[in-house]
Amino acid sequence: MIRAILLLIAVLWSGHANAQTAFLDKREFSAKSGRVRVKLGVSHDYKKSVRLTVRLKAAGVDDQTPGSILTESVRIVPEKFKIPRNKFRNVLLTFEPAISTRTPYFVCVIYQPVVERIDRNGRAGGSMLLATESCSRFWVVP
Amino acid sequence: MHRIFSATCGAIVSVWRQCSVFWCRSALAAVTGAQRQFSPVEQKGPCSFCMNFLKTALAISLMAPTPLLASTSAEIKATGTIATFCNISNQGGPIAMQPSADGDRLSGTGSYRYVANGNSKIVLSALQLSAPKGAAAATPSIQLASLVSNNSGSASASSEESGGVIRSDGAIDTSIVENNGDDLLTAGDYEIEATATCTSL
Repeated sequence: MIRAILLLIAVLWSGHANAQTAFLDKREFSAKSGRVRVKLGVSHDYKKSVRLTVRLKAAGVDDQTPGSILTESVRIVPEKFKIPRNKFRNVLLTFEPAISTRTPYFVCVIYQPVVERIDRNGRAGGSMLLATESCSRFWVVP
Repeated sequence: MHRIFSATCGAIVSVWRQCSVFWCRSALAAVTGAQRQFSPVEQKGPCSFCMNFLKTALAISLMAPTPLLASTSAEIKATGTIATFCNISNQGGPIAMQPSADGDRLSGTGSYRYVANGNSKIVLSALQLSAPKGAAAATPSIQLASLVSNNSGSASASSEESGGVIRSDGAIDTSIVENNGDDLLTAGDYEIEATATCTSL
């Protein structure tokens, strides 16, 4: 916990980035008991309090790319929360994987910007909304 | 210097022992009244010899740099761990796109920052385009300069894996370009939505 806070301070002091980050100390978890418990820390350095969402993803096209969002047997506490800038929130993720080999998973924290109407002074135009997501890969061994 | 200091300390201890033995014997003799024959050296005054030696040794020791006087040693061990992380940020929020003079495209620019302290990669999701109802065909595009670009509405695109630490700033170029025989975008409001995902490996 202290390590994570120190890391967070170091990261936030190193430059304003407008980003959210998921901090994961361990990268390998055991599913021997049938249930995997993953503790992570979440923070951001947006100017205001923002609403973040944590989710678990399976591997996508390869073991380096997050794929579909997993919800079955997945419990994330808290899953969605609003936190002020530079605050640190602990999140507990538990799930019951049905695996027979060492398998990668991704825990992700996403910030979806609020849709704001852009005033174009009556002219036609367009806008682009880029949500940003930070994922950390971890492995589960049966 | 350390060897000299160690030798000096050793000599001090040795002389101190000799003096202690002499003083103890003298005290015992005084208490018991026993007569004792002193050796020539002891008769000459071993304590005077000791004191002279001690004075010299102490003078040398006092002239030594302070750290050498601290002859005790302490084992110092410090360990630490830093978690791997990465993040990608859209620095400017929603990007407004302006139409071209020919009316064939909308384009806008923003900026991103990519920070990682270990191996990582960026994935840009499939682009969701919202266009006016019944609009002529158009192609959306997002490019994170030097990282990844995508113009697909159905497939994501990945950057190369970055090795080690990285902190880079770059431009986000976004556009919607007509994709029809008339080379025009239908009038109205357009929007592209996408997600840039940074994955710490």
